[in-house]
Amino acid sequence: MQLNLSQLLKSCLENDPLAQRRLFEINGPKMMGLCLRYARNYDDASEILQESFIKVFKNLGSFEGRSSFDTWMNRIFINTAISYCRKHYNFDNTISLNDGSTNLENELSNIGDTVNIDAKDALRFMAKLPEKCRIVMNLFAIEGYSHEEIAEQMEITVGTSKSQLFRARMLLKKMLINDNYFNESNEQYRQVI
Amino acid sequence: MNNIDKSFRNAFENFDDPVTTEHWKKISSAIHARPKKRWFVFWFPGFLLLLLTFTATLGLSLFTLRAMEETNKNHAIKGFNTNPTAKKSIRLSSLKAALSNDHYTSIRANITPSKSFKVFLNNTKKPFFQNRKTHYQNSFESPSEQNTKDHLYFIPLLLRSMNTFPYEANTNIHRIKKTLNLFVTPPEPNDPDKETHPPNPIQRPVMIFITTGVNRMNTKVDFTADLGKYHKDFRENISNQNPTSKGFMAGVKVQLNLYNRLSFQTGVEHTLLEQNIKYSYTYKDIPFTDSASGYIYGYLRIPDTLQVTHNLNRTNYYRFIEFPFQFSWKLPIKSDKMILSINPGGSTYRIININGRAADTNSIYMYPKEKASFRTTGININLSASAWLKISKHLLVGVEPVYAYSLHKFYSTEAFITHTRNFSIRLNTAYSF
Repeated sequence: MQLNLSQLLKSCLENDPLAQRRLFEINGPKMMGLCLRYARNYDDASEILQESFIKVFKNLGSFEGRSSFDTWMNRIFINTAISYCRKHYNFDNTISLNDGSTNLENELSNIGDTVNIDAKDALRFMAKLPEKCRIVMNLFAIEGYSHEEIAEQMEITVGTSKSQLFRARMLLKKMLINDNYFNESNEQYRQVI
Repeated sequence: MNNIDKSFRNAFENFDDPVTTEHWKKISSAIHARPKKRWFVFWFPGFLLLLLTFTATLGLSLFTLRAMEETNKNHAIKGFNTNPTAKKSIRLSSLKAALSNDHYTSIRANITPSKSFKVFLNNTKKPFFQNRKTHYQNSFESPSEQNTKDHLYFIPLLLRSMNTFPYEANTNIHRIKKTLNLFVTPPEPNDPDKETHPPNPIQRPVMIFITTGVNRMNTKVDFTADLGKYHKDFRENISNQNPTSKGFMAGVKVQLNLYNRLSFQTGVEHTLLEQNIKYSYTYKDIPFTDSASGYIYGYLRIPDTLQVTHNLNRTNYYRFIEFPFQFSWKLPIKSDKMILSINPGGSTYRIININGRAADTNSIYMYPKEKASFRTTGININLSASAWLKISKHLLVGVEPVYAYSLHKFYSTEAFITHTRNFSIRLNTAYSF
């Protein structure tokens, strides 16, 4: 499998259209899933996908094999998605909520137990989030970045990253409640709003 | 990671979406397209080179022209400065020699009073943009007294045209075809004051100066009407900051004397500014936002025990390159040592670099720094006053306070835009040619 990937990458480097298409077909669906998580709609996700693949093909020569190809490609897609959001969306500078260290935050933004969310619903909820919140939520919860890494990646402060995550959680929690993902409504949350 | 995070992580595990042929077509056409020539990489240095070449050519031409006039004048004085009362005959060959000493290589006169009067001057040392061959011609139809007078007027006219000096000349023709008799009056005696005081260096045709100075830049903030998506304390926070930038500039400028007291200045200036933003904010209210529209529809007051105070200490660095274009009007003051001038004009600027660093990351408000939100090029209106002190025949030093107002928005967000107002004091050192 590894050998096949190496051969495929070598052919792509030689600008072989068939190999390039094969690489796109293998990785495209997974990467489209990633783009949909960051974008506001399907068209934007398509643009991020195309832009990212173009970067992948053009910069394939710089892939040194220190990390896996998937990790390298993932990073390109995430960077492109963030740049795209910054350029095309209102990357607003709304005053953030908190530094993420108070009990109030934890109390408000958590739920008792995990819930099984359908992927399509999850995507719908994520798309409704404000841009910064969505990116921070994606980076922290899905990709597993730390707040320090997010701050560096997005050129924001650690405090802002934490507060955006808090805000994202609050909003997602509200959406989950409204979509009846919980049997019991969260009284404290309803009291707050 | 809390349970919401885990729930969403589980939901997106192995999540994918099919890709289409359309996607591939666009990618394929982009990666196999011919690379476009990136002209924008070249326009900026190209523009700089063009500006410098233009300035140098113009300066050199003016300098050469002025020097040539001086030379002609001197030679003419040497050749023709005769006793005003005496009549002196100058043979055609002498005239030729006098006029061709440096700049006029040949003169040919065909004088036929009954038919025509022609003089050809072949000038080989005029600047390239002037007509190298100057052709003077006068024609007569019949030999008469009137025609002779016409000849008399033509010769001084010819000499004036050659930029010699204003002759009050009487001319006569004694020996047609071979000799021109010129009766010339010498120039006015030199003014003793002018001998002791050399020409004012600032009024020389070209002046090159190095300028250095300190800057102070303020920003004027204009908010948009709709701040519904922003925290109620946002406006106050932004207004209270009013960050002031301090820095220094250096540049090279050229001044070209256009007319008597009027000059034109241009050149290149480099400015580095340091902007410090400091504030302290106690966070008391949590906003609740409508997820669809993004508007804030309520606030939750945090108990005093949970209030958090945030401090921001942020430094931004801006690096500009600027091309000034301004006129300079010298004020008529009675001083040989001091020159005052007022300089209205403008400049085009280009931001070449922006860097920032935050000292405290626990901030509720980040000063936004997306480069896309900065206008990287723009035009300023400038007004300055200069005071020059003459050090030597060619050297001057001067002080120049400058005020510049940006016509374009410097920084813009959805919520506000800023304009810059820049004040600087400069020290200029000039050499005039």
